[in-house]
Amino acid sequence: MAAVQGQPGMRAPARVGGWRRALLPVVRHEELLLLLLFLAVVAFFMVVEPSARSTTAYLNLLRDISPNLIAGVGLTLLLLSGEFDLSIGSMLAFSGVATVSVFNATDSMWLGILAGLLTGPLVGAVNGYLVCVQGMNSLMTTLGMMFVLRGIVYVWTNKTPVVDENKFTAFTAFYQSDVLGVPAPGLIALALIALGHVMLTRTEFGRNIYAIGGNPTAARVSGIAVNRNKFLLFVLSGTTAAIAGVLVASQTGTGYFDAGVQGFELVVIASAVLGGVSLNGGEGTLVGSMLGVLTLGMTGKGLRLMNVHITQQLVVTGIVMLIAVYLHGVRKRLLIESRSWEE
Amino acid sequence: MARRDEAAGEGTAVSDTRASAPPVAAPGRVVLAMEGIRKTFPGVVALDDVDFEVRAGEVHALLGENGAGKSTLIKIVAGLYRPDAGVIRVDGEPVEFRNPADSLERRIKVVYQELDLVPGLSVAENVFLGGYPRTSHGLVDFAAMRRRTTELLGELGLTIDPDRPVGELRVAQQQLVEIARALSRHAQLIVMDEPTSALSSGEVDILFGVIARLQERGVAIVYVSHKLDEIYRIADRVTVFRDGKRVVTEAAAATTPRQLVAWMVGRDLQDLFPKTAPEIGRPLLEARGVSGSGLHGIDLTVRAGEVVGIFGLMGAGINTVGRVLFGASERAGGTVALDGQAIRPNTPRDAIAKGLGLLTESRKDDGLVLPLSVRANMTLASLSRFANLSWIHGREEARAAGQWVDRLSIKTPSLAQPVRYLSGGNQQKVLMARWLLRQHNLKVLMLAEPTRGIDVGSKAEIYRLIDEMAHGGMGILFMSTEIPEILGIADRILVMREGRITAELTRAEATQERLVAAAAVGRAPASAGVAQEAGD
Repeated sequence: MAAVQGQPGMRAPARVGGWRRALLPVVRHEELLLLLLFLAVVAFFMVVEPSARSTTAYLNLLRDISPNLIAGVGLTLLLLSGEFDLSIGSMLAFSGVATVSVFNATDSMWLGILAGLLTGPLVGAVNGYLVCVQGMNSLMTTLGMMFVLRGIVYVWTNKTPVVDENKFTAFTAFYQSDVLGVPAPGLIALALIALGHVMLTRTEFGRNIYAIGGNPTAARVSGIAVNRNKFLLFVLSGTTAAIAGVLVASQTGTGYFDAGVQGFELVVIASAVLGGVSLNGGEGTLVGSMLGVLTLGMTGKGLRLMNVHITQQLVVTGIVMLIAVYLHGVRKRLLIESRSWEE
Repeated sequence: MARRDEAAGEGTAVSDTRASAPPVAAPGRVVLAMEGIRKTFPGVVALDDVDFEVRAGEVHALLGENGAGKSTLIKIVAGLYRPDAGVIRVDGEPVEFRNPADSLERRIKVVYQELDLVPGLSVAENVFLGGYPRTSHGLVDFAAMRRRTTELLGELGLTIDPDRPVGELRVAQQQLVEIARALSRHAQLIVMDEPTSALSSGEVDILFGVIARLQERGVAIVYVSHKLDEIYRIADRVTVFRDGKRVVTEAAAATTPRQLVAWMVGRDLQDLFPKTAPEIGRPLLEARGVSGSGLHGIDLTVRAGEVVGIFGLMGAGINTVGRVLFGASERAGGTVALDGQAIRPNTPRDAIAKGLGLLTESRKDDGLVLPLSVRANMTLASLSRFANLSWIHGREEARAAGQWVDRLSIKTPSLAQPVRYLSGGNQQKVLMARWLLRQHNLKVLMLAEPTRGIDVGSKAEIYRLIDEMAHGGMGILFMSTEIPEILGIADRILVMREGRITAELTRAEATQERLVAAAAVGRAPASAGVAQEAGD
């Protein structure tokens, strides 16, 4: 017997349980989750450490963390396209040493800064050529580049810091200066973040980055120049790393051969991933990645304020990272529950 | 874990599969009954007060458009979703499926389109995955496993080497391994979700043979498909869903195809193929002696306003033609020209720039960017239309995408929804929209199986759009393994076999028999394809 039912009725919006509904904005927007985590870390240190209650502490944090933020911008865009750059730690030393060496060779501050900044696109272009034109794996290519650059710096400096013989005070003063109460390096970082964010969310280039990272073949058959875009991203990653390197050199007017040697690249990658950037590419945001940098930076800063020994700092930093990864998992589950809507 | 122990226990129970006759319900007995099932997701009621029952030994077909609620129902049966309301009874007992293991425990097995087999493991290991038989020392009893796998496959009338890695098998064979796996767990209800979407017609015959054997054993089958001819071949009863509600349950023999379509679509669909008289113009796409990626000496011409169909059996290489002409797969020789301009091999970008488009056949591999939104996926090939010096005008983009969401009735809560969360049919529509958004820059559009997994109502809309584009002077190359649609919309049909074009038929000449004959000439009898070891 045919049992025909009536016409389909109106679709009522679904009900989601109380506490889950409250969590929904956090589930939908990853950045909110990270912001909460960051604030939780801040709140923790404010409670346990009186010196963490001053505004200066946070402005100094912004100053200290600015190289990570800046290098993180280029690296995040590259990660989103599904590629890696492990050479940014060595870049930090390479561009810093180049800057101060050119100071001493030419007695010109501007030439030195220019030289330092130019190392970035140069090295980035080499990485980009090897990966995009020669088809080499980016993880191994940039790992190789990491050793090559570090080796060059060691040979070049004989493993001694390169000191600015001209004592360009403008160079060192810049790092310590404030504009409208905000540390100047922090402002550069914020400007680059804003630029990167707009590029990522509002331009064709940004959309292509996500498409390439999310599914390179689909991007290719949709007419996107996959390799050309990736090449540009390697150049960009090198460039932001070089800017960070010049800033590190300006802290004391010295080109350090060992700048970034303690896993700078890994810290930045870890921060980005902590901030929700997928290592497979295609997923994540720059804002999230930067919140990841800030969260890890804040953890380190707070521990230093508390005079926690460096070895114990490592433990706590690791724990914060694990918490972040755990929260990501929880969020994903909730997201699937709330969103999954197939057929 | 407790679950593991249970599985191991089951493994030992399996050892007497052959000895004791398979314990199945008496024919006609209700195996699964679902009453008043309701399931909601944010923004949508997926199932609204649905009743559904399956009897032992019957093939119960489940029909409905994309988003009608079939998949949700299956996922509830599989224990993947929990209903918000309603009762599920198995063998008359109320049950609660909290996870897939609960469902399996009740001897219910769902065979999905994307099979969950482990490609690196052998057939036998896959069949007994999660419940390996043990020797008295507690080690895995490989000999017994092989023997019983051969027995199980034999009961289904199949001979597949139990030692072969599953990854080497063809999809059709993998599907049968999945069914054998269900039998190893004494399944009394097997749900098949569009099982024939990747099968050749010979393979479909074998699957239907297996289904008949399962029926004889009293196993109940829930069969989900968009293909009405299949339903009339095997189904005892059909249930039609629309917008989350059950519209009707009826004996298949008591329905007509037209009735079924009307129930699914909610209105009387006048004409599935709104073919109008073509106005054929100058040659646009010209391929000469194209080879590579398994193709040999492909010559073809698509003229302005013409719909050229390419038909062939699964594996004949029809979709490869589009890929090679477009540059997505390697072209080793030959020339391709579009409106007189040569197209460089292996560079889709060049093909697109010159006015060629390709809707690829594989949604997940080279179609969708899963993490990206519906909107971004739609505009992926036409983004520059909405951008000024790389700056995207979000509103224009959203308006254009939104129009196609409406026209193709794509079911999505919003344009910002990651395309990953859409159903397969709706994902396919998103890909179709990607090229529709670019149609004004296209001279020729090639479509590989554009209606796979799409419901009847939207199919008609897509055929209408193809006709409309052709009327606007575009050339269409339409690759499909579905005879009715090829016959329905193509002006001229090329038939392929083993990477070569073997026949060319005009619309007037083409009949189902001729197409099948041309596609199958020189092939071994179809039944050899799956049951015997396939060479490829």
